[in-house]
Amino acid sequence: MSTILALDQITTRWSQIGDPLRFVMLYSQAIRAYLIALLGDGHAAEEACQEFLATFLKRGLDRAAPDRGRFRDYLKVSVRNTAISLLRRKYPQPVDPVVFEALATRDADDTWTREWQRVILEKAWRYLEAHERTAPASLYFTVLRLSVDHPEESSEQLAMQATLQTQRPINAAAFRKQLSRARMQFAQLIIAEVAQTLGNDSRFDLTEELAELGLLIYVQEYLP
Amino acid sequence: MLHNLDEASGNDAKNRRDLPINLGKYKLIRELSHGGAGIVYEGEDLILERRVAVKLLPLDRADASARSRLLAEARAAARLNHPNAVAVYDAGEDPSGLYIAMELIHGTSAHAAIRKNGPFSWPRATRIAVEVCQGLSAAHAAGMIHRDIKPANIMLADAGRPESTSANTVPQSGSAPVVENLAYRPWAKLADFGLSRSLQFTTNVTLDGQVAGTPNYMSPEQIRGEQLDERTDIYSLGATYFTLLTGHFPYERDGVIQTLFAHCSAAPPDPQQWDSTLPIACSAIIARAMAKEPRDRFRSVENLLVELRSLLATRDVGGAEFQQVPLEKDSTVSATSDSRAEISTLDDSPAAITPQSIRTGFSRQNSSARIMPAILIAVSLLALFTVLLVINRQPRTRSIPGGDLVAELDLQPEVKAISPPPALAPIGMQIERAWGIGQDGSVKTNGLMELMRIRFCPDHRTLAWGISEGEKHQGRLTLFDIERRDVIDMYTDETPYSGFNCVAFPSDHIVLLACNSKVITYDRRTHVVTTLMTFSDGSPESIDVSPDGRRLAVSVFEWSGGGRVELHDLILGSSPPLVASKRQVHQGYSKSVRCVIFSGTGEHIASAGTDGIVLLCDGFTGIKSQEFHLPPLQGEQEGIGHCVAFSPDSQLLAAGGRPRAVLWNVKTGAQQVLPEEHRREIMSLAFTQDGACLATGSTDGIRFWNVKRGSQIGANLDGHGGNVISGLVFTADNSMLISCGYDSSIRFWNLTQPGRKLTGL
Repeated sequence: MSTILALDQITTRWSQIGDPLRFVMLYSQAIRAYLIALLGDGHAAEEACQEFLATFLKRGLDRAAPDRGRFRDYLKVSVRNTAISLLRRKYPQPVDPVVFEALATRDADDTWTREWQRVILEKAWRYLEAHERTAPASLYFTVLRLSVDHPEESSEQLAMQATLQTQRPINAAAFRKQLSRARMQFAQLIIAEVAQTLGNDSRFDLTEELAELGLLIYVQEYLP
Repeated sequence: MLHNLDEASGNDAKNRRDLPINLGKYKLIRELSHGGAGIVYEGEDLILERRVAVKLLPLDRADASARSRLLAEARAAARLNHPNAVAVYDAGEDPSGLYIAMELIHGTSAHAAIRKNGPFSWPRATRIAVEVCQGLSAAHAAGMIHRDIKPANIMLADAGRPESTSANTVPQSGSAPVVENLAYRPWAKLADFGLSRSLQFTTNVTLDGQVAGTPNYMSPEQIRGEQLDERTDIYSLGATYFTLLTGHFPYERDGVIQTLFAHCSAAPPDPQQWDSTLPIACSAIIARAMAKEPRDRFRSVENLLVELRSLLATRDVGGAEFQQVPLEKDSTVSATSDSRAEISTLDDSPAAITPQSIRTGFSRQNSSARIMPAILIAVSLLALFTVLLVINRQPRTRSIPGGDLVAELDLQPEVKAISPPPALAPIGMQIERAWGIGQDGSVKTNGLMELMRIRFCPDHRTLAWGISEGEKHQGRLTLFDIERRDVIDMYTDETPYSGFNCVAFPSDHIVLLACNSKVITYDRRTHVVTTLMTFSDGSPESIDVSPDGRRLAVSVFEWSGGGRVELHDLILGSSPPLVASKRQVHQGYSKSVRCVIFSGTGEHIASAGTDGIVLLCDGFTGIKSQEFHLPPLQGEQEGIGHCVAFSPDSQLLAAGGRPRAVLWNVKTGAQQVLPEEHRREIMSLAFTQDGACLATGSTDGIRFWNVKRGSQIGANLDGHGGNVISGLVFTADNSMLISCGYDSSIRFWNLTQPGRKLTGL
């Protein structure tokens, strides 16, 4: 697993996405959930997923657009357009465009944001767990997971839990130390993933994006 | 149906070649198949004179790095020796290409079988999955990830036909079937361990949809190009199980990319959508195995194996294939964060939430229109409900070395705590000397305690022992509260020669007793006794139950003179309790197996035989992982083993030999022989609850050892008059050691006395 990235070393990857399909696969759950929220029907959402992918395969990423902005916005618009196309085919008679604009409902937007956030967090968890499996001396995943799942327990209690889980004695001081490092690594993973999806290298945009995704709380302490 | 299972294979004319004559030492006889990963021939090993399968990999598909990776993985697979894995014999390079020589299987792949005959019945599909799990467990234990589990990589050996693994000869017409392997006749064998995946390194999923290999069984993390571990195989096995059950792919989409997208985002498929008669447990198992996040899946293939075996056991209970009321067609197990699908497991993950579909299924069963015998329904539902019901089982309490007990874990939260029972008349025993602060004590029994290993009930204050009493050697079980010094329960079996050899506690209220030719259960709440298992060829000498109470290990003394160890799944929820899914841990001991025990985590089983062999085996599958030998006396051929014990942290295994005790590191196998000798064989041993000290017992008394330093502590304890000390156990707070011996007495050694404290460890 790669070492922790320094914040000032993070470069935008949006323009350097070498494998856009992997990006789409990574955010596939957000795409599907958004389509379900838009269309209100799992079967229709599945159909829309198929269409979206077919279109994406044909056109790929629109790298030529001068102002691509955030990848998240770009993808959302693409997915929504797919939903609109699907509805237009299903309902061929002319419909007031306002009806289609209503598809951009607050609920659907919230779903999109919430699922996008969840994908980023799950990816960070996966990387943390993978790191612990390959470097058993660090218990970042175990300690962070315990502290998240049992927020009301003291570090002594959590240390006991960690001892039981790992079959290795861990005292409260060691637990706190590991937790501190785990939080930092978790934050770095989130920052790196979000930075990849931004259209420029502005740290202001990064902070704004993290705030919009509700991720600032995980990383604020580690932002310069 | 499965016409599209041809996948990327079969039609590529570039793969067809003229038949080479020889590849290295292998003479190629005929082409068996060809596919994306190469061409498979039947061949003959000209040196060993046996038939093999030879896979030739086309050179134009492998660059230098892929070639070296392939050979490295072939060599790794060749080290795997398991009945449920196709053996790899050899690998090499030839001007024709890279080749791998493998076990020749007379049979067909699961893929071909489904194409020909349709999906398997659920018991057969589950059996295939069980056997694949077993092979996979061995591979994971050897550090390998298969990464390409699919029906085409599961070979099904023809029943009754000889297999090349055992024969090692070219089959002759009319020859007798091959002698079966130790465990059972394997049907399913997992093939292509990591081999085809090596080639995948040279290709990636690209925008135009070209992808190497089949997408139908790939895990989300494989698709995303993330780091893989054993849980990737669990996902693919779950997807394969789906196909075995239904004859369909888990996600049937118009294209490869769409299929990959579904693996990454769609809810786990429900096989009942294709066959509503499938047991609901199949849906639950697949939902768990195919969870999107690896940490939401079965933690290990062994956990999956247990669930599959439990499912098979329900069929045995019912005596027929279990029929289910169909769920609604669009009922699926959601994969969103709002309603994650989880099922009960044996591991210590947080309590599982029963999927809504399972609740729906059970409620529908109550209004089923299908007519079944009432008893069959009751028994089958009870067994299946027990398997699927959320059971927040936690591992048995084990102390952590170096500290006090760090957590009191509920052992059986679904069982009400037994209120303090009244004292009973102490039949068959008398307290000779009461123990107390700073005082030793002793109890005299009326019977023989020759083979007994006394044990504490899970409450750590109820002591259990069994004796053979009277001229007819009747069995008596006594449960004794050591704090109250009262007999609180007793069971007597007046059948002649029913003396109890061993006792085990799968729960607070169920007691297992090994006696004569059977293992019986005694329910402390109802006082009902049932026979759990009988043996027609021997007698159970030692029994132990896994910490989760779901597996039973039995060492059997065979009347013909040998011994064996069996591992069974234990189903306590049924009435009466049942065992299922017997696995042979080991057979062919030349002498009796005196002791069998689970580690504190339940991951290992250890057994000791009087031939001096100590086996360490997997606690779920029974597969041997290490074999140790107790050192013999000078001038003798072999040692003698009567007892084994795991340290509380399950890191060390101790065995009593003649005349020394030996410790082994479970992970590394490193051996430490304790220096001082007992006068005779060590018949009992026990660790303190913190694992810092080991006590060993023989005719010359009890010795204490500092485990870390490997040296004796203090003086011997002698109190059984030179008789064999047949059982030792420490109390939970290490304040007392309790011993039993051939003098029919039980001694309570107060370790708080000056000079006896196990300090300075």
